Amino acid sequence: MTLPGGTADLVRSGFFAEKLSKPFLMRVASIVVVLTAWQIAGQTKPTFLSSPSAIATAGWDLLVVDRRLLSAFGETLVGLGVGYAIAATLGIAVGFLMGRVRSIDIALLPYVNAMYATPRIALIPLLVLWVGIDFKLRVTIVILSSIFPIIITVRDGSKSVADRYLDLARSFVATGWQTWRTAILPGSLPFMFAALRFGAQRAMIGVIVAEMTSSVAGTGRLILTYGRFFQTERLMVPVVIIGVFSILVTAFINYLQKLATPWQKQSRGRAV
Amino acid sequence: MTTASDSPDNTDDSDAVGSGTARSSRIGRPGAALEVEGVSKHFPKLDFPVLDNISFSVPEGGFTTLIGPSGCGKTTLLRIVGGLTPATRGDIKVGGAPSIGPSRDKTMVFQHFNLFPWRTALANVVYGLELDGVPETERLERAEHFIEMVGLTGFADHYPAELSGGMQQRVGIARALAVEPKLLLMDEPFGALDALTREYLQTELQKICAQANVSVLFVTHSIDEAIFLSDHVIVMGTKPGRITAEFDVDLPRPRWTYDVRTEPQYGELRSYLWSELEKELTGAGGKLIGMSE
Repeated sequence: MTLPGGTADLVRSGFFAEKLSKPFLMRVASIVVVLTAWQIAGQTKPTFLSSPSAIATAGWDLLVVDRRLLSAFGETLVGLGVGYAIAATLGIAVGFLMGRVRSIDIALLPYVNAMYATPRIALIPLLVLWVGIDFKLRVTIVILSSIFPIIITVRDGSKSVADRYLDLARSFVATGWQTWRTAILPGSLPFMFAALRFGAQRAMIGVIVAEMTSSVAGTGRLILTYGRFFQTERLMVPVVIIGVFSILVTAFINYLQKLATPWQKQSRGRAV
Repeated sequence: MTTASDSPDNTDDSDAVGSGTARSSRIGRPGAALEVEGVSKHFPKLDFPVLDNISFSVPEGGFTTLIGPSGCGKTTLLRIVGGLTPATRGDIKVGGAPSIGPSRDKTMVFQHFNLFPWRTALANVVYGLELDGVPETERLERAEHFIEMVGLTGFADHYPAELSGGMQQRVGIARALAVEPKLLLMDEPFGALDALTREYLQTELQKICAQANVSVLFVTHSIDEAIFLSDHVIVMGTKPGRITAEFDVDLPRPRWTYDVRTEPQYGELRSYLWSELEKELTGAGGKLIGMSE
């Protein structure tokens, strides 16, 4: 794979160096270079690499013309959304309880650690016996994939609320509930959002794995099918969509975090 | 070396004993903002008391400083008075009433400010009032008054991360004053600040105290800070933590209007205080260095 020969020299020369030093332009230039290289290389080995133009055509076909992918992705999203919502709610609640109530922590920690360490994919055959191979399996695997990292991150975060904030609440005679509301909860918020991001990634992996290993439908199943029939350009469409979707989810959680923790924004500069 | 129990010169009990008509109608010695009686503190793992039978009092409107080497228990003592750490033995009275656990008639100013980073300066200042259920309009009114008193007007909506250390501690002081306590407990409040800010805030603190009419118990490492600020200085020693000396500072107030350090009394007090501290640092067979005992 050879890059168009002069690019590096052009970047180094004065005019381009100035324009391209801006992050946005640099990113665009990088994407253009990579896609062009892929296009050229892909045309020589279409089954192995496919190419951006072939993938775009396949995408149009799958999303707009026969819509098979659209409905598959919809199924995936419902399973993902329901599972993730349950995992986030339960995970945050259990994480806080474990972080702040010692007896609960002692009772639950061995199970949480064990489940966190066990590859959840190993449980799939058992889960198929329990809940079947469709919607319920997706939801169950999404929950099992994302709840333990959420629990552990929230637990550690709420445990790490600095003693000095608790001291302060105590010195002003805050009640138990007031201490939660004014010290523990806001102090744990950054960890809570980290947990949500982490959990979302795990949930995404979980739902695709569930669909690939056992389900009769969904995006994961489509990927598998296209792979078996060497339809590389079709296979790449759901992969790209899942990737873009993951990025959007993470960006959305980041946005929520900015709204919820305005004190964390870049300092406006210290007053002296 | 005197111990707390036979130290003769408590400052406030000469004119107040027995009088039943105090500002506070509750039992106790009138005229004292704080009374500490026979307070001891043991930690299970140490074979000597961290605090051994400490007694002293702070008169109403008075400024008393605890000074001593690291490990003498002065911060522990302050936390016991603040109700954050329980004493093994002894009694604490604030405004004549027994004081067990934290209460809003005595508020703390911490060495590392302990501001909530998720609250603006204003929201930090109103914290105590908010917990108390004071209505919002009154809350803001009172907070604004104290923000102005500590010289933070215009910075009310800044987060702590946007303020310098000195300004953060001003917020800490305003927060402690906003609930209108009888007693301010200050744990090396300027210890984390640079020297210039520190000197500046020492003067500011005197003005603030005069305005807010509170009594202060202050902990410091600094000899100059102790003399400049205090009416009364209590010197503490280590192993066990105990009072080794105490004396009054009679330099006229307000002290920011003249150069205190050029006064003859200042020099005398300074060398006296240093000699007392030096005994602790060097005289005890290097007991501050290592755990040889």
